[in-house]
Amino acid sequence: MPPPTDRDLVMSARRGEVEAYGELVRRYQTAVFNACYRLLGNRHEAEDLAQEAFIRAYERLDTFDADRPFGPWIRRVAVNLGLNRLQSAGPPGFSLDDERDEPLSTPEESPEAAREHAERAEALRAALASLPSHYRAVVELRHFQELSYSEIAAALRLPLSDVKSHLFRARKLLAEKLRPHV
Amino acid sequence: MSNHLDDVLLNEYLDDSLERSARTDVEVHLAHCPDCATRLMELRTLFADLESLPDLRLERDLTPTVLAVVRRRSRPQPFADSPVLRLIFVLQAVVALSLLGLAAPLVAQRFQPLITFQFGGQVSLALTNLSATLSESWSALLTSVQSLMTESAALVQPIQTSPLVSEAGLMICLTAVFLLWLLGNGLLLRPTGNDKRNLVSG
Repeated sequence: MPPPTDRDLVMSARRGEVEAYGELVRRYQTAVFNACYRLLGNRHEAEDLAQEAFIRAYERLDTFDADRPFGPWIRRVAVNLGLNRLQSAGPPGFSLDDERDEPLSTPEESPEAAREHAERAEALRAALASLPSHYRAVVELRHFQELSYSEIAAALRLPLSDVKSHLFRARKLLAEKLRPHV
Repeated sequence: MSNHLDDVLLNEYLDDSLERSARTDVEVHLAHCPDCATRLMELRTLFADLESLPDLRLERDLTPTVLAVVRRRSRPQPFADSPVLRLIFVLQAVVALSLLGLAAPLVAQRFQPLITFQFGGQVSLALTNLSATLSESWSALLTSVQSLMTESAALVQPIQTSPLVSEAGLMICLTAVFLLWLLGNGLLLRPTGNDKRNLVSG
């Protein structure tokens, strides 16, 4: 018997089958957590935010179009909550958790290649975390949520020109920070 | 730099947000300008790094916590089942009924002159009869209470000397009912932690 699709699970959850929603949480919790972590840079806060996103999404499940993919929707819920949190937190006093997280590595990589890959990823996370929050937000929405300029402008309530300039400056800063690791 | 592509143009080119003609111009320039091609390559590398950034491992399963909250919020008014609340409801009802019984003769006596003054004829007569009936019932109740409490003269004495409850006593009873009502409904309608969070988050 094939596993239930996301759509099946959403429909079951709407009928009050909480366990079906639990399966959706299990499927998407890592992706949602990572979106939160990229925005907040703190594992504990990211876990809290991811939980909050799933709870919020459950309460609004009736508004979700079940014919559309669940993954991007739940990630957007989380990112919106994260953006609200960044805005309410004020100016960035931001630092990445001083944790050396072991990334999910691909099994085909040699140990040396995996280490290099991990170091590069670590450097990129640190560079992302050092960005001002409004730059981090546009990078998340453009590169990870794959929104267009106009969609980002609508999400952040910014003029299109600001979205472009934030994005270009953010990329420039990232490239500068990553140059020693090339 | 006027002979080179600016950063804005390069970014828009990679974001695929240029018009077709502008895109062609950029590609023509890149084909003949190694500096701009190098800058574009750096940007492409950054894009590739961002896209291939691996997910961090989630150290704990969020499912139990999420489901616990979801179940709690799905349950309708769990506090209504509380035994404390049920007891308060019963107490409210008992006190309210007692108060009604105690207050009926007092109300009848208080309002009798007014009723006689405002209404004449048969209405007044009917109300007077009703008042008399209530007073008789009250007296019968007192008599039965007296017979039940013969061993406790102290308790029976105030009832014997004053068949009607004093206004101060009535006010105390009213206050008690009001406080119980406030307590019962206040507890019933109090916002839960979840409600508070919802209010805060809008």
